[in-house]
Amino acid sequence: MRTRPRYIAALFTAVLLATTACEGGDSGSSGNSSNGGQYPRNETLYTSGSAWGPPTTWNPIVPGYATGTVGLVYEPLFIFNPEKLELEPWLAEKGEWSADNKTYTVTLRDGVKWSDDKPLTADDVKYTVELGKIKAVPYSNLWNWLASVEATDQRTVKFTFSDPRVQEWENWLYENAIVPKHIWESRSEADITTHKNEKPVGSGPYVYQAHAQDRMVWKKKDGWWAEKALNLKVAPTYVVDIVNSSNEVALGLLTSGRLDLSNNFLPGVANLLKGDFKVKTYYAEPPYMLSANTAMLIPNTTKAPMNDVAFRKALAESIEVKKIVEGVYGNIVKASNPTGLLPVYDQYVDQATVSSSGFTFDTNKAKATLAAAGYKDTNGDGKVEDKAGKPISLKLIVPSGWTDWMEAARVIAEGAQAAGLNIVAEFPDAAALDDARTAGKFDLLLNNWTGVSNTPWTYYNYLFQMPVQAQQFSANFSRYQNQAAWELVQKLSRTPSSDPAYKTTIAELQKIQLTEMPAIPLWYNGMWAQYTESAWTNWPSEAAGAPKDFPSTWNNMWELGSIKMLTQLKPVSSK
Amino acid sequence: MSDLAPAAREEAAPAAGGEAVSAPAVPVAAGPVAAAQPGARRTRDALHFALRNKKVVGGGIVVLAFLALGLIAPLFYDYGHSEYVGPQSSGPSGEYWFGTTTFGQDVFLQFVHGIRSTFLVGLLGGGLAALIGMTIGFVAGYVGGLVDEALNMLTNIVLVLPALAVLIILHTYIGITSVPSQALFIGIFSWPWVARAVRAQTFSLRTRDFVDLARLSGMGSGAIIRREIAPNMSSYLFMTFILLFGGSVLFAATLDFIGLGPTGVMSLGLMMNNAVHWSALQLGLWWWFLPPGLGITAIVGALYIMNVGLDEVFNPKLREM
Repeated sequence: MRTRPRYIAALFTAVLLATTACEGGDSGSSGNSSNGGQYPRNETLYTSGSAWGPPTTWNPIVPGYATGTVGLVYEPLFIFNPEKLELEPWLAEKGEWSADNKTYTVTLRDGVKWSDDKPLTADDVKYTVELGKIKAVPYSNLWNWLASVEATDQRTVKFTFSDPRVQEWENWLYENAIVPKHIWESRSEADITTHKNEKPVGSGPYVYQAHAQDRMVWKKKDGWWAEKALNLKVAPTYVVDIVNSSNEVALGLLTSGRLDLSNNFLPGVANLLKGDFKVKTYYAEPPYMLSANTAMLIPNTTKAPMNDVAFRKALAESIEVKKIVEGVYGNIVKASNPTGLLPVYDQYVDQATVSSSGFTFDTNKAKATLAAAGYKDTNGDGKVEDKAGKPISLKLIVPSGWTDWMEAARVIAEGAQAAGLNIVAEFPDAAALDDARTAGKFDLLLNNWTGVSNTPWTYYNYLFQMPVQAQQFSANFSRYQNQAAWELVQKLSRTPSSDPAYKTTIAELQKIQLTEMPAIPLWYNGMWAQYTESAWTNWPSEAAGAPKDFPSTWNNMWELGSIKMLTQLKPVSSK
Repeated sequence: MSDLAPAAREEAAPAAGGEAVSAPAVPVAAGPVAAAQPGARRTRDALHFALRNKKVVGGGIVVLAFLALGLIAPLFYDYGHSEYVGPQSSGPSGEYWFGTTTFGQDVFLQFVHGIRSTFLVGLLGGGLAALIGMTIGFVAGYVGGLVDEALNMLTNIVLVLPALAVLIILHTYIGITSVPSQALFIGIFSWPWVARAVRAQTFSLRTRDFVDLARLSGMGSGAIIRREIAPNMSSYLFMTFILLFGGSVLFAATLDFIGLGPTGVMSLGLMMNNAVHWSALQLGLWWWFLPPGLGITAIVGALYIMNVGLDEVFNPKLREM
């Protein structure tokens, strides 16, 4: 009889030991597994931060491909330069709109070859665009407004539009990679989106070398077209992308020099940058990182009281973004402009509208806004009740394990509570949260699918997209309905950026956004990028003379110029 | 002769009957009086030996000191444990005794709040598990037959359930958002070994003469369990509770550490969870994760040492004096 309790005691002691051991074991054990010794260190670039699972597919058509599939292997016609806010010809030599904006003509570069030595021709471009006629292909909606595509000769492709959405088209041009027709045409319609494409044949500077559960290895290819055409040469012979197990592990790898570029959010990195850990970032001073997207507080406007604009306004006024920026992030992010437009779009922000209708943190003003709109504390619990006198109780949900957002959500809830709004932060499983967001079954949540792009149109499309469906997959999670705003968004997509109407349309949208508050912009999430100079130097930085490309391996960032970062790096040994 | 009574649960105890006879044999009105005397004496004796047992006294002092710290210390602060009050990531100092977190929260304040949650989850979780386990054990052991079979089956089923896996799933679907609800789930999964042990003890006790006598005198089953059987194993039940208390504390710490903790409150496991998530180890913020780790170890360790000491107190064979 005695033995059982003793046994249980021993068991629990073991559990305790295991619990405490976890702390130490984490970094040590997984660190060892990443000793990639088989590639010469001074020719190899080790990266991490984009892959969260083993590489399983190299199909550039559907998201989920191994890091670098689009960017290093498959390339788009243009890339976007976020510094100058303009498209740069990449596979294309040039692209031109006709005078009436109805047709667009792309001229391909001469001498571009696939990695199997076959030439890249206008047929490949036509084939890739026409893949959009398959419903399962992500860009299938292109064919709602594109009428036809025609290869007029080996190097010329002509696109004819039924509805010339200039902004949306330019977005398509740099976000989608061209695939070789001679390989893909033998695949069935279903295969196009489900094929793993194990031996990717692309036009880019790298080819498949190897992959394992914990890494993706690319090898430099001889005779990349840009070496002649643009005088660009990628420096690393090998690019090894390490699959993330956790951000803390990445921090350990980086500080021990086994990682050159980490695009992970490294918790507590602010301490690292202040200390002497030899870790570099884009800016030497706060905010250290470039801004990648805007973190938004999304109210579900189909539910009361979030359907009341006064309530949303009061909520916005109750949030102390400064505390999130300084306390939670240690100044590695910046507070957002009330319009939510990223810093790269600063020139489009209408300062007059912002100063007249923008919001700032002010708990007392939030209380006053609530009182004026009829939200009063009738039962004396310190929290306001809705207009009918019923207690308000709202949940702000953030995925469990997203540590920075969890902490930020706590700060938001705290601020709201101080203003008399009963909001609590909760942390459900990430998959459960995805379902809730898609189906509109939530009160409040945080979302940041508002990345840098060629045009603020993507941001306003994200805010105002209509019609609101039962399932909202990528935009308008607030389920906010405003026909006038949606028409402006559509108008914006048809307006070339050179047209004066472009700026005025954006200004009108800002006015609607600031008075209606369909979503509340909070802070700019950083383009997390930490690098060490143990093997490679000349990283992008604000310093004079340093490259200004985005220092990121995230998917979709290569097309925003990150690919050029690889051409600027210099190996340490040859310095 | 009542000295032998605590040992009754161990041995066939032919002598134990003598003590027990006095209680049930007398008329109901006199019952409590007669029963109270040996009971009081037993308590006095136990106390006598307990206060001379270094393990019990030492363990008790540590546990009580932590309890007092958890209850009193938070009263001296006019800010909350999650508020950003100090400089970020600074080491222990006169102002912030255990230093501050990455965000500038006071680690000492979090620690004392964490102790509160620790005791609360131990008390509620351990208490609930003890209640369920003992009830099922007594009923199964005393009633026997089909009831025993059924309860035994239930016990065995819960015994083989992988509690951690079930709790992770429960957390996903229901969400464990407060310390009491966490304690509830822990309690529901940690009683089976108690039920089995108590059932076995009850089995052995229910065939004793004094129990038969009580039955003959017309006492109900509930009253017999409460007044005849349970008191004869009270020391064992008490020690069981201590083990369950410690077990609940550890279980809660495990859950909190892997991120299934309650929201809105602070616990020692959550502190360690936060410390790991914010790279306290890599960045050398040892003051963030050492206090909660040591706190849990100290509390649970002290409880177990106390338990070993109590064993010696209640069981004369183990006494070293």
